[in-house]
Amino acid sequence: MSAIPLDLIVEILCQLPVKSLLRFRCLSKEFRSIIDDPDFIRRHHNACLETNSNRRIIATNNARTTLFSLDLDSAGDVVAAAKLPDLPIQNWRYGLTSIIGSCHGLLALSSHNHLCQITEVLWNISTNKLRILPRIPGEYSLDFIGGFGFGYDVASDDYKLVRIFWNQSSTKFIVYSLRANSWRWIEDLPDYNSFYIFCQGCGILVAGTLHWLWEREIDSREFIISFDLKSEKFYSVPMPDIASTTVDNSRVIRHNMKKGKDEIVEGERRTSNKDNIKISAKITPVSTSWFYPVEWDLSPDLMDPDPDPRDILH
Amino acid sequence: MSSSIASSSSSSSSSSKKEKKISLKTSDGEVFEVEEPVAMQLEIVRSFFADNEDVTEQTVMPLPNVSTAAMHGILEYCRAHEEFRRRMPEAAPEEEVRAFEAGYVDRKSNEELKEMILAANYLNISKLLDFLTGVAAKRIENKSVEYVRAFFGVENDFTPEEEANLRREYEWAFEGVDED
Repeated sequence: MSAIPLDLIVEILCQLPVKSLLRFRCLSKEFRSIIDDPDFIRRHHNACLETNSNRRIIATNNARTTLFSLDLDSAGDVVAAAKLPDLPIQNWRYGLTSIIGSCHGLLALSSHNHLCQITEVLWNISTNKLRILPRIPGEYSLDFIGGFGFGYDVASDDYKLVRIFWNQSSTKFIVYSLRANSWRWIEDLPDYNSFYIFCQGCGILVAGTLHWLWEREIDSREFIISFDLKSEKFYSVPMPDIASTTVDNSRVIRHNMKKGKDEIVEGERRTSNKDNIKISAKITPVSTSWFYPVEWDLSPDLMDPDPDPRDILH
Repeated sequence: MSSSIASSSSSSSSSSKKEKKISLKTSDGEVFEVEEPVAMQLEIVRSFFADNEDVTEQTVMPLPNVSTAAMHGILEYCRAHEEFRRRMPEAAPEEEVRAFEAGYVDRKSNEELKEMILAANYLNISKLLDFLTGVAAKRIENKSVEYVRAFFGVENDFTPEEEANLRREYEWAFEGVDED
């Protein structure tokens, strides 16, 4: 019988998990070039978004010694948390690993060594490929502490990682571009510097913009600063009208742009016994950018008590 | 199978008025008399009748790229979906549709499945094509390289060294594969 035409083969390949595709690169030279083609990768990614497949939640345990993956595609109500393999990096100290963020299946992680030097890596969990970020150029003092953020800029088709350095006198920002594989200092936040702004934690990615909760040192007032990954400019976002609720930065839930509509991914998992965690995730359309905390009820010795629902990977 | 669905739907409607039929001729010369709403799911048929003003009810439309075997499979699927639509025009009975589709593909060999993919593509039935390519993906998802080469009829044009290198690149992707 006649062979299946190429466009239908691509249609079929688009519906396969990444593991199968990596195996089928061995079929023939033609298959390898189809599967390695950036356009195909983009199409496969879009197909995953369309069908909500290939999704998982990544979390660390309390001691930050291990990363766990919860596969949202698994059939049934109970999903076992799988341990992710150790990162293939020498001297990587898992004890101090933090999840900076995730975007399109790329996981951004950071780790301290004993000299308090920070190493950041980008890890494609599907292909197990890793990029160790270069050292940050120029002078920055080790007593600076601050925040992180990771996201994708559609305009330049680039992934960017942001680091914020903060001390009593100034706030500095540096952006890493995956395309350029380099860091670049960007201008300070002129209007806010004088107020002694304190910022820690990981930025929340909403529609190409990272958001952090900031605290002004002089009066402990909280407000939100956003960073547009495209223009690389900062904006101030007014706080929501929720006087009685404390907004916790780590609990703003990830937005998901789907079919042109802003929707929110809401995750829920319940411990049914020590090793199994039940997950349900639903998509809820929202009319404003504000959404209230989801309960995370987890087995304490297995998972972090307050993992970040942000880490739903796409 | 297909014939039972066909006879039950035509007998139920024959009491009211005679249903309009469309004649379709497969590559091996067999003529299928197909109820109009079912035939209109075949986009190629729908546009043939929409674009040609001089066709009559007696016109037999030739489908040179579709075998009789594939046509039986195609009509079984389209008739079942027409039946679902007729019974529940607002929302398809999801569980019933799933049960039908699961039973439907279980009976098809890989060769039959591929033949139907080609036929659904030629006849331009996007819903069936999406469904069948999804079935094909599920069938090969966990299979070995050799199995999938045979499935697509692909010639291995790598040297043994090249293939060994490629396998080494993602060794873990070759673990936990089903037996052929």
